[in-house]
Amino acid sequence: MRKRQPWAKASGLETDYAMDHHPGDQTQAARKDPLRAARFEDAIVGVAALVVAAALYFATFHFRAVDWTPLGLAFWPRVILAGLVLAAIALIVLRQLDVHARFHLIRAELILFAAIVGFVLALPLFGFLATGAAYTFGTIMWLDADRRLGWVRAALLALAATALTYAVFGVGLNVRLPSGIIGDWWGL
Amino acid sequence: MSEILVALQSTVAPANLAILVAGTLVGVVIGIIPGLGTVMAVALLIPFTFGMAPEMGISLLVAVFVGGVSGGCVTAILLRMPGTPSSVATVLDGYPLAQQGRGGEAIGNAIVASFIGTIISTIALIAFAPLLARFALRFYFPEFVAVSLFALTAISAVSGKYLLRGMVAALLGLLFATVGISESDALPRFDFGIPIMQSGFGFVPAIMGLFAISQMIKLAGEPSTDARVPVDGLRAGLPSLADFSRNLGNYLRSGIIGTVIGVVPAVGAATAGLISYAQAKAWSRTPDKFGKGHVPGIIASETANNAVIGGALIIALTLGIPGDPTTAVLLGGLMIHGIAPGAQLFNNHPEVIYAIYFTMIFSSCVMAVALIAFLRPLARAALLPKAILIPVVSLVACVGVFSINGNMFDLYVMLGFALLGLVMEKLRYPLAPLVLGMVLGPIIEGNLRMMLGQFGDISPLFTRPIALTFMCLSGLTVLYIGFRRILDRASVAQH
Repeated sequence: MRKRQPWAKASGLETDYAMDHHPGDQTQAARKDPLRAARFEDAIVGVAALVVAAALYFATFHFRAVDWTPLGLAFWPRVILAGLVLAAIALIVLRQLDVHARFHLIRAELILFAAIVGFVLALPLFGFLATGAAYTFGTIMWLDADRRLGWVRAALLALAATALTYAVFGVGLNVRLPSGIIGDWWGL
Repeated sequence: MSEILVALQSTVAPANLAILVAGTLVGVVIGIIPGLGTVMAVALLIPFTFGMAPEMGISLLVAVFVGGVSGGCVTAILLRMPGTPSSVATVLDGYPLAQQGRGGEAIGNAIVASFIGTIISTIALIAFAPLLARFALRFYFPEFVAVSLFALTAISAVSGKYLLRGMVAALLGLLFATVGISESDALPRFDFGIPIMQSGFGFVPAIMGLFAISQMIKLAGEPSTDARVPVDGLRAGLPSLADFSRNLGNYLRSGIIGTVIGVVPAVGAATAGLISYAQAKAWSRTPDKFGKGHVPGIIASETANNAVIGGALIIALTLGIPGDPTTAVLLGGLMIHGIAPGAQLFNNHPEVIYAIYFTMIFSSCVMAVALIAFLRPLARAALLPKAILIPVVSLVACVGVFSINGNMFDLYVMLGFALLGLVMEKLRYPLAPLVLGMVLGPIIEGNLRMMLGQFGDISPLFTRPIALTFMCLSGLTVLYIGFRRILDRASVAQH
């Protein structure tokens, strides 16, 4: 049986914890101090929303004044931002405790995101064919940690995927994909 | 009549038919693979529609939708992992049947049920969409504001565990929709002096970031499964005529439940399947067999989840209000082709409407034939290694986004939304309200400003009967969710 938390009971938070608690569905971090972490996260989101809303509200004063519509450009964004401020305050005040909501980025997620960012940034420089093949090959090799595919099949798959994508979009749909420096050398 | 013939001729033209078959198969495969889902399937296919006529483009997307919802049953039955959330109720009886060595029979019944569900909802779409469109012609600015607010409130309330988080997501969606040139004023907002920002955040880059790239990133962090698809000797066992007749009531009831639930914004195919399953159990003479491998349970779930498609399209096409992210993406695809959904669509572009009707019928036939004929290779697709899946899907998503306008800004937008989607998922903020906020933002703003300009205040929202009905529904949804939350707390405290 779970040990009762006297401090949680005193603050009226115990029911929230019990409701969100599902056996076997907690991370190590959540087990350590779920309530404090959850409260911290909600407060951060609320404060971030307040800061963003304030900055954007300030930006609405720089919108061009128009006389052809009575409500003006800033009317609707200000309505939304007012709603966001209210929601952010409610987030901070109510602090809906959800012990599953752990902001915990896994290393693999960060690596893949960095790889996709790298692919996008390299695209105009090296062109689609080189960047696409390199990205696909690198990602396959990295994800195929137990080497079930092997580097030869990974290379063939990368080339096939890049070539097929180029054939469908570049040739079939007439999309002018970035040719980059390599493409410029070849006069593409 | 001539529009019907034109749409039929266009649909059955060999090239278009091939596109429909390909779209349905892509949908089935993506539906089978756990973790991808119909939103991603439809979003990934949008760039392929650019070179097509509008009616063919939207037909392709509808075919993917039908295939995606139907394909989810295969992994739900064989692996206890629904390929799409819509097949969650199928697991309850499908997996026990597969464990008894009757996986083929379970899939055969699921295929027939998916087919019947799509056909029932198509009939409902054909019968009721024109009527609702005629009714929607009475809508004026206040009605559009009220119905959009209702859709947004409903999806914020039901798509996450917490109403407040849904609201924050919806507000973010509305805010993102304000970036760029304002439709009402033809002037930029929140462009911060950067010319490219004036084009705003494109819908497809946002969807691709939220549902394709962020899902791939999430998938990369998940452990690889060692599960194997039990395909040896697997063949779809179709129900006999006697079995079919015995379950006719179940098919009809589940089809109607699915269609009606599809019409209600935000509820979705998974809930339709579960409600229909519960109803089938309640009406059954042998309720104790449910959950232990009972075919009527599969029929109820699969008929209802496919019937949701037609129901969702009724409201999306007639009012221009998407009820869930998949129909939002479908409408986005329609708008990319310069076609505005809504009551006028039936007058201005009837060929698009008829093409959707025919596509639903054709793609449900293609889905059934493909799953019956190629069940084993399709089932194997369920466990496609993520070392292949992630690079290929992310590559296609990036190129698809680039192909929209041929500029890098769309790719940066996609990356931003991918990061946002990942953070939101980690913090358990629902993505559906954000997507709907982006779609409904311009509709609400345009109509609200016109209403305020004409009436001077917001009183028409509460004095006109249709608008008042939707405002009351919005209020009741929020109250119901809040009340349920309090009851849950009380119940937990009692125990």
